[in-house]
Amino acid sequence: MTFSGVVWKNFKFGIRKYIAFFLCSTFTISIFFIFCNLSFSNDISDFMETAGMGSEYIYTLMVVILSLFSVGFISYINNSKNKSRSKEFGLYMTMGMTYRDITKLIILEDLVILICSIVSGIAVGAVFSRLIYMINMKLIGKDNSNFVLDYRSFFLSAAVFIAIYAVNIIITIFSMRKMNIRKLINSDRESEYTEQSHWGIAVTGIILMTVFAATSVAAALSRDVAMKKIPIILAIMTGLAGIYLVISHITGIISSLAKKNKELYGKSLLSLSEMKYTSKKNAKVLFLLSILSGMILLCSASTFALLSLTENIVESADKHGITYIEAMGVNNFDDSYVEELITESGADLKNHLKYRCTFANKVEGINQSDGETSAAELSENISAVPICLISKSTLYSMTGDISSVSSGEAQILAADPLLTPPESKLPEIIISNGVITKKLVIKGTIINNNFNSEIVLLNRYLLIVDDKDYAEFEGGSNEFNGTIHDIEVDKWRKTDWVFQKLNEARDINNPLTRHFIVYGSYARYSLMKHLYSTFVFVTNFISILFFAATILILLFRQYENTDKMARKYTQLRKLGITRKEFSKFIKTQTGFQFYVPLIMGLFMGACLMLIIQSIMGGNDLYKEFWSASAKIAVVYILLQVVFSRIVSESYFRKVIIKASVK
Amino acid sequence: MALIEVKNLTKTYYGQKNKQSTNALNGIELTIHEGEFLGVMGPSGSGKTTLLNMLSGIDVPTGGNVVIENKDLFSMKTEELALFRRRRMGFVFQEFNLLDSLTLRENIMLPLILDKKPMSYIEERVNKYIRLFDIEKAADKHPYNVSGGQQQRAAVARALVNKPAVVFADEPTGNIDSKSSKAVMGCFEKINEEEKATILMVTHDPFAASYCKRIIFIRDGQICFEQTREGSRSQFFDKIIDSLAVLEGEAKTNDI
Repeated sequence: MTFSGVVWKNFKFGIRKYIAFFLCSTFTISIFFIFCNLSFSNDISDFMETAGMGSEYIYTLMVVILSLFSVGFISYINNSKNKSRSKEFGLYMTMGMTYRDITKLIILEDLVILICSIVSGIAVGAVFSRLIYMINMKLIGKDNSNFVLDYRSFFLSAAVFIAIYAVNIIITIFSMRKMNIRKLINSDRESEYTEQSHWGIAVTGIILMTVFAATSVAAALSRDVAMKKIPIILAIMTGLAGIYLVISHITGIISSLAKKNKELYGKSLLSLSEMKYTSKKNAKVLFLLSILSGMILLCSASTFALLSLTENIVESADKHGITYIEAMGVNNFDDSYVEELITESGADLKNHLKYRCTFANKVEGINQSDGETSAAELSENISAVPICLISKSTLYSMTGDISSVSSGEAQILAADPLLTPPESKLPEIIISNGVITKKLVIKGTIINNNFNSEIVLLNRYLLIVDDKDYAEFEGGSNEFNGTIHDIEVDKWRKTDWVFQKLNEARDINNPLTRHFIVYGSYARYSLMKHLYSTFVFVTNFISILFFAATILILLFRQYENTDKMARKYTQLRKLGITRKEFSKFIKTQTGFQFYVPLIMGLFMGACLMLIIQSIMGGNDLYKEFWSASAKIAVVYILLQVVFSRIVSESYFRKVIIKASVK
Repeated sequence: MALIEVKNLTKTYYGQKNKQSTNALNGIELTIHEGEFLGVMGPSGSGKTTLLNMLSGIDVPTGGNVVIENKDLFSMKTEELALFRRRRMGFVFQEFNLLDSLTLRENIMLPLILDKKPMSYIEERVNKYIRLFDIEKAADKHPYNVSGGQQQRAAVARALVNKPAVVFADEPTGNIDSKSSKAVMGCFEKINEEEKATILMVTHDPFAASYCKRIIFIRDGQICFEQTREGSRSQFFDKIIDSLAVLEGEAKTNDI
């Protein structure tokens, strides 16, 4: 028989093992392809860009997350496949096969699986891409007729998975070279468990997890922006390390605790010894499952909470109504027309306040762009978006904030610390409206959460200047003077129609129109809902994917352990174990694999949600946010309990069928 | 007093569509008395292991019955039989059948743990056999870290720890060297003489069989003849060799 004959016979004999590997690979490649195609979609990227808040990177981020997931998942199943064949490789070597022959065997087999998986994965992905695209378009309210299968998705998917497989093959070859024949032959018997100082390592793990939790709580309570950057990333890394250390030593700890109580030790001997025996191998899987669980909870709970809280977030603002700037021929509505619209809508007009403002169209030292500014304009340091100036007295009457600026100085008024413009770091700027030009020293930023500057003006902030300087600018050129309209209403939910009418009345031919939008409570509400819907779709899709992957990993693991477990059942059955007792043993083993990642996932998810909370702000909505998240967590726990029962029951049946003693 | 009574025990393995059926056991009649050390010998495929599996309730016969301690094994429900096996039978296998996840000590404990006996009692019983079979040094090691002989002695200890009515041993020396065989058979002899344990051992090995008090020789699923130990072990060993030669000779004559 030739070498290729051996490969082919071997392939046919272990076909079930390869099918499991092939199906897992196909699943991963198809999901990857779907997200690649979405990330390359022009319609989606256009929408994401307009949504702002970094959402244009969501799909790219998802592709990165999926790549990392694919690396972990494919490596895990590949490693399992090869480990389950160690004895077979050992036997080949006793018959004279060299490492080189075995390497060739692995490469040949993996190549066949890779080619089949890529073809089928991309085919499945291409079919489902259209469906996922249509759901996305429906959510963002766009026409779904422009679906295309981007050629880059094909190349990227193929390239990523070829790279993953190549790395895996190299790792397998190197790890095989480290093994000797004896080790390979006994690989299915020897435990990877080593007696070591579990307590020290586990306590270190618990400390690291505590640091992660404490940092997350501190970040949630703190409004300090510095807390939300590098320390958070470090805390997450620390938390992950802690989780791994705890998971990998938990059975050692439970075992040594159980040994202190002899009766308990006796009762749990069979289950505990099995967990301990497989602890090292299990640790990697449990860690992967914990991350998946954490991500599932984070994605589904936080977005569900955000979506259900949209109305509460808007409601929690001190004032409700409509805000717009009337200047340079934009938003030139008649006051009575606006008030009439509000009365007709039934929103109950409370106040219509007006504040004076003026604009400077040339700003030096501020490198800002709306994306359409030409390179020539930028080189001249000319701002494309006019910058809005208000006097410090206007600021006081508008927000109640007191500014300390004096002549020749300016302060920035922004709505959120995270949206503080880089200009606030500049020592000074020169502004001009064509008639008056002034050099102003920047004296920091005033943050006012109730101020809608970031939406009213696309340059996201206003400049506060001394009353005297303001008067000079205002007197210099009438062309740049305007009015900030701040209309307060009682029933903001009814203003939908008002927004619609005002937007229809805007002069779309004026190039400045797009810089001054009509904003308010209802507009904020619909924008958030719109934006969150996409987030919910993407994150829930990820949750479902990860959930499916979790189940797939557990099933794969059970599949590869069925023979071993059937042998164990046969041994124990001869010793007189009852089916009920063995079923309990299986349930304990399966439960351990379900509940440890669930607990760790809940911990990780909660910490990450605290971090999200710190980024999102809205201190007064914590209760609602956590209650909505808790609902999702409860649903997830119930789902896991049900799945654990189903999986352990079916596993038990499979083991009984395989066992030689019934 | 008869401990095990076997009546007209038959086992037929059927091929596809009932063609090529094989009679593994063909009307076995056997009585085993309390405290007896019985050996079962015969050529490969004679039905030795099948007989042992039937007697221990691991496999179901095609016909006949097995009564142990006045209980008909095959009228018991599956779970009842499992509990009976746990409490009244002990097993020793050629491949040791120790759980790799447990240490030798824990493996020996297992039948008593399954039976939910108090830990103080379990420890007392386990320590007794660990000392008796001289495996103290290996007791806290896992099976893959000790020799075959030590594994088999642990398996014998496990079979005896719950004071079974009968111990079934299937080729207990088949996987171990001669020195270890001697040690393992010494263990069987010790518990048979000191504790009056009833042992049924299937073996190919005349040396191991020489420790028995009575040996039945089977061929083609039937008992051909039996030998009882009288005199020294070496004399009994010679008798066994002669019997095996006769058994083989008859087989060849039949083939011709």
